[in-house]
Amino acid sequence: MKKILSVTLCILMLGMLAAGCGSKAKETEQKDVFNVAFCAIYPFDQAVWLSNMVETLTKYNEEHDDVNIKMVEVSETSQYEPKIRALAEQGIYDLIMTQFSGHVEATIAVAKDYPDIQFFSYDGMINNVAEYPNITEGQGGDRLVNGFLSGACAAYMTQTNKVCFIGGKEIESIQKQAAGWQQGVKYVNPDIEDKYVIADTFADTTITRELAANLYAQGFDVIGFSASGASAGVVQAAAEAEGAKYAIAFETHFDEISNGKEIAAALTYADKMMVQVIEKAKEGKLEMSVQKMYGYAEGVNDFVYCNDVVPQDVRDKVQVLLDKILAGEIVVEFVLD
Amino acid sequence: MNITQLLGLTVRLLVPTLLVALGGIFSFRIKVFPLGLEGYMLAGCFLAVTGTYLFGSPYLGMAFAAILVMLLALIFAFFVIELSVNPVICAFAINTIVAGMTRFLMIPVFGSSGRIYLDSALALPRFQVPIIKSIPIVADIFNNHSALVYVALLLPFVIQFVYYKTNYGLSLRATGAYEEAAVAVGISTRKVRYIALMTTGCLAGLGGAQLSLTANLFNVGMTDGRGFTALAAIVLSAGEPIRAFLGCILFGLCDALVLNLSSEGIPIQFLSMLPYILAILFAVMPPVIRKLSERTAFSKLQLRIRQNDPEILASRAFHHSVNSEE
Repeated sequence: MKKILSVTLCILMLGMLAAGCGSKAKETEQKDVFNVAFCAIYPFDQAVWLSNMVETLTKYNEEHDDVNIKMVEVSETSQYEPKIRALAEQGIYDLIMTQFSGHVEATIAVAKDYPDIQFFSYDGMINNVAEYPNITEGQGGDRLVNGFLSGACAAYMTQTNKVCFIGGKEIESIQKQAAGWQQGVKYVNPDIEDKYVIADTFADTTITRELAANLYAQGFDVIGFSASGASAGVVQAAAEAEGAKYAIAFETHFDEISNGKEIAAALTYADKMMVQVIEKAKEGKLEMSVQKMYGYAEGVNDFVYCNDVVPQDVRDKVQVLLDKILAGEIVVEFVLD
Repeated sequence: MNITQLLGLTVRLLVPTLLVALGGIFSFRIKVFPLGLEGYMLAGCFLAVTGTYLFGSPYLGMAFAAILVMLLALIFAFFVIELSVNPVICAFAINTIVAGMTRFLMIPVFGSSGRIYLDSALALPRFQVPIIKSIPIVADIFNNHSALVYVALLLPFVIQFVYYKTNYGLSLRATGAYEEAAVAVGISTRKVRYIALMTTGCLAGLGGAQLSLTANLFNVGMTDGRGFTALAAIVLSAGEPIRAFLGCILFGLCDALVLNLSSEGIPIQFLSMLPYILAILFAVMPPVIRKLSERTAFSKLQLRIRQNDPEILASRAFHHSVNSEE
């Protein structure tokens, strides 16, 4: 029995190895193909924005014969540098894209050894990026502006003068959204009670749901939320709450489960940014050693309304605020109360 | 902070962990460390949503999860009992495989990745309990929950009864305490162990089902370490059902407190320490209390000796006469 089982397992493992080393979608060694390696810091399906990004890049890869994109999950801390270095060592990639501050050290270390490869860091926050000749950084989505517009919309919509922002974890990207939210609320009405709460999870919808239900019960009637997969819990709490209790989403929509309570969303199309970067790099126009913001002007951000709950006069006021921000009349700063 | 709301929230938060912990106790009692609880629970979450989606009923979804996770536990039991695979390694494999499989199967089953939402019509029904609903504070805490919540709250007492008042309970305890002796008195320890490991799977699957069907969705990694919390409750309670229940209440209360206090503006960095502080207290307090009571009893005895207590003197005289006769 044990022998049969051992042999079966060995055959299964060999089969999996063979499948893993099997055919590729495109011939990566082709000279006229622009080869891109995309390293995701989370498993592809952990966050909605990442799933969207992977879907867009897969579609882009299928539609463009002159580009070959390899997507890799580089989510274990101990694997950051070995995996990125292994991609560089293959010698076929023209552009390697990494994510967030977690990948930064590995990106810098590998980039030094491979000066012919272009490296793109998504939201790496590399303040001294000018020192690295083959690294560029793109900030995907203007979180401060997203936060400001959402906060302003919440302030216009609240009837109880109590609004709240729920963040998934205490990280810089969430803090930026919260900072923008606070300034947006204050800009519209400084007397509104505004709360900033951290759920401390990106996956547990039970926690975010109970947290939001508790806040609605305390009289907060508009809640902005940015907690990746756990955001669904906030929307469910809004859907179950009686009366005019609303939610404003960040990054992506959850209106399919919101029962009409998700009134607006500050969206970020980080996938669009990735495509823009790949196209620029392919044309040889991707500027190195700089930090670039991809925001409203680049079409990476959009503030949308999910239904008719937000009246036209509020929409017009929010649009005026966006115009003022783009014109430089309002400056949203990264200052958190 | 409203205490009634806090306790109601505690009940809602503790139930999934409690079901998983009660399941894990069966493994723990036969000396198989239940490290695979997180995997079983996650599988339960996924299979409950899949079953509900396929059969159009949350109860069938729940049964689907319980049966399939029990079968998963059967595979685990086969590896551990028949092939003598180390249960810790096998449990790691279960956790890893389940985490991967739930992600992988999302696409063929639901055609989407990451998360799946069930139709609100398929939500787990909540019940108004006739007598409880009319008692003011009790109603806020114990009324308007799903059937599985009430089952879970009664289960520790049922399991306590099974352990100490039934033949199976006796066999289970004997198998865990000294397997050779249990075999010598004619207990089929193999059968006892299979049943225990499968019960672990069944209850952990139900715990997962409660978590996902209450939320009416499946989200990748949605258990978020609850299986390990259940494991902590089992270890801290030394595998006693009622004590594990108390441990789960403590963890549930802690989660509820964290939720309430975080919405009061207390820093999350401080609040995230709270469950661990309570866990340490939960672990440390019983031996400390035992030591203190032993010390108090000993000092009382010394005092009685010093004061020439007649009972002590009589006892001494009796022992002395017995020894001299010998």
